[in-house]
Amino acid sequence: MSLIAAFLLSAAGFAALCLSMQKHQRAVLGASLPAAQSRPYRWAGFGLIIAATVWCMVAFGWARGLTVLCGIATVASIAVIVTLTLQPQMLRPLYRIPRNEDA
Amino acid sequence: METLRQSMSWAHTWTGLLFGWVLYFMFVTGSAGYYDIEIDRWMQPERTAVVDVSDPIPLIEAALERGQAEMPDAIEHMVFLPIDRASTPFIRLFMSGEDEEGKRTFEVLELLADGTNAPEGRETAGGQTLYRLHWTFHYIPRVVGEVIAGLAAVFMFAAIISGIITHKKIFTDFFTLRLSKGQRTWLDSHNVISVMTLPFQIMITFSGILLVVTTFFMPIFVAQYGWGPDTVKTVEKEMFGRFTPVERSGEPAPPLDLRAMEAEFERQLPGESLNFMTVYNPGDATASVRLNGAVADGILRMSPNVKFEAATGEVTDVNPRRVEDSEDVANILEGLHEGLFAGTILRILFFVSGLLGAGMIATGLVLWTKKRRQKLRGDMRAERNLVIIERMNVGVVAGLAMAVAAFFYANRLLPVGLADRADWEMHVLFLTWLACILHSLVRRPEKGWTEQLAMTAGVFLFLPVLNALTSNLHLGNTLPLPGRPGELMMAGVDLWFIVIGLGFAYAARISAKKQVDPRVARRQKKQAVPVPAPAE
Repeated sequence: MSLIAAFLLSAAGFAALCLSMQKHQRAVLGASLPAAQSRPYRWAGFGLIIAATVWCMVAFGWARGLTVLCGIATVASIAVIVTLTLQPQMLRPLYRIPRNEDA
Repeated sequence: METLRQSMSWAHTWTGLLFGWVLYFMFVTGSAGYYDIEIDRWMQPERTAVVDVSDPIPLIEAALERGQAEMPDAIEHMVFLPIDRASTPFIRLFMSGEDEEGKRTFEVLELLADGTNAPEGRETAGGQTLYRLHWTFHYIPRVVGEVIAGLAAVFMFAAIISGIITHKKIFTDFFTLRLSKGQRTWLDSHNVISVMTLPFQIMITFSGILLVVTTFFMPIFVAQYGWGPDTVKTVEKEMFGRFTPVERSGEPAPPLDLRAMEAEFERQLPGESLNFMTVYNPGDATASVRLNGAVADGILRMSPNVKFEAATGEVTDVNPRRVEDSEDVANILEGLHEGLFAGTILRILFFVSGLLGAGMIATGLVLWTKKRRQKLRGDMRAERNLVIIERMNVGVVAGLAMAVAAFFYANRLLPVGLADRADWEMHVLFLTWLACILHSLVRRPEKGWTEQLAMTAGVFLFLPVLNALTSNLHLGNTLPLPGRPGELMMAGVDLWFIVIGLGFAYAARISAKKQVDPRVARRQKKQAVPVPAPAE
């Protein structure tokens, strides 16, 4: 369970970081967002990865936790890259929030 | 003037190629090492008896009694309990003594719970030999192997650092993987694999250097202690304080109170589980006892222990798992390298990271040839050399995977009575690899890749079937299902064969698709227009 949570936190973190980059916004949305709308994703991304780190250290102890985090982060980031490369539209739901704000 | 990035690019390219094949071999066999014990068990499926260790005291007593019968005047008797990923499912009894000339002798027995001999298995090289390949290379002397492995690790470390500097846009291209773009795709894959697994790669390489570092200090030892067969022994004794036996008194010892010692062990080292115990001068009044916890219970590569005076049961020394000095930094790094502490999931992550390391080197090797091919400009001799490297890459990369699979086939198909059977399992591995390299030399690389990748996929996918045909430890019995515990340790090996097989099948499909050049395909389509049948 703790491992799944760690994976979800770091995958969400990498996905948010990925979506904060204009190049990948074009792939996912078809258009890039203005910098002001991208910034929250960057902060969310770093925040989630820090959260995953803290979570691992709390759940497994700091030594084992950091080891687990490195492995989980590798798998999570590769999962994000593969999704972005093969099925970019799958990341689209993550853009709903700012667009709702616009509307 | 050359910029730092340019000079690093040069360093990365040439150190990469120089040791690329060696490092690929080290990553593949080393990754298999994360499942060394699982492979050991897979290779001796007839030895399935599992000893219940919930109450270890009677087991230890039975084993010690056996030790007294076998070697009553031993220097030490050591009893290993089969906890967690123990190397056999049985109790192991190590006995060491001295022969008439004062030389140490060693004997190992594998025992059942009542102290009788465990069933023998077939002779096999096992997972241990497979995993040792990554620094012994099997056919060469130990020191030479360690020097090659150490140099390769140093160059790998240089390649990692120069690679990071050469990678122009490590953050901008963090998530970038462009498909169907030829060399660009290879570069992206190489970068993505390397960057995503960077913590693992740095850890494994640096700790790898540390693991063989004593070999590199050899000249210093030789200068100080002279050149001779006992040099290493003397150095180790002085450096690590090897145990020196106490003279036996000849007085018989009172019986050991193991229960009290076990209770004291648990009180002194809470949270540690008893893994093995040693009796020095067993049966003698001077006897002493040491109870050890499991190395695998923590990342720090040490076995916490409590020492006792055997006669009185008095505690003489306690060594908890604690980071104390700089040597422990090495112990932590080596602990991470070996991953003994890893449970099921973490072990999977270690194995996957190791395989990705192999993938990083494989993509790097292909990239190397792609870049060279662009710059050829009609230089005939350079082209001939490049063709050889391109073709060798096929046999080295895809062929090694097939060779490892062949090793598992050899374990099941070589006759059980064959002389030097364990050696022959290894010969099969290397002969298969050689055959793949020879095959790759006579095939066009595109064809060679597809054929060898597809073949590798096939042999891996068939392994679980072979296992089912030749043993009872197949997925039908080992897979944990609701209502039965199964044997995850064994099922895992077969499941990995399937996953690896599917991975190679996917790679073979990509390789086969890529071969069909769109222009050629169009031309073939035109030709395929039905020719009117000649009138009869």
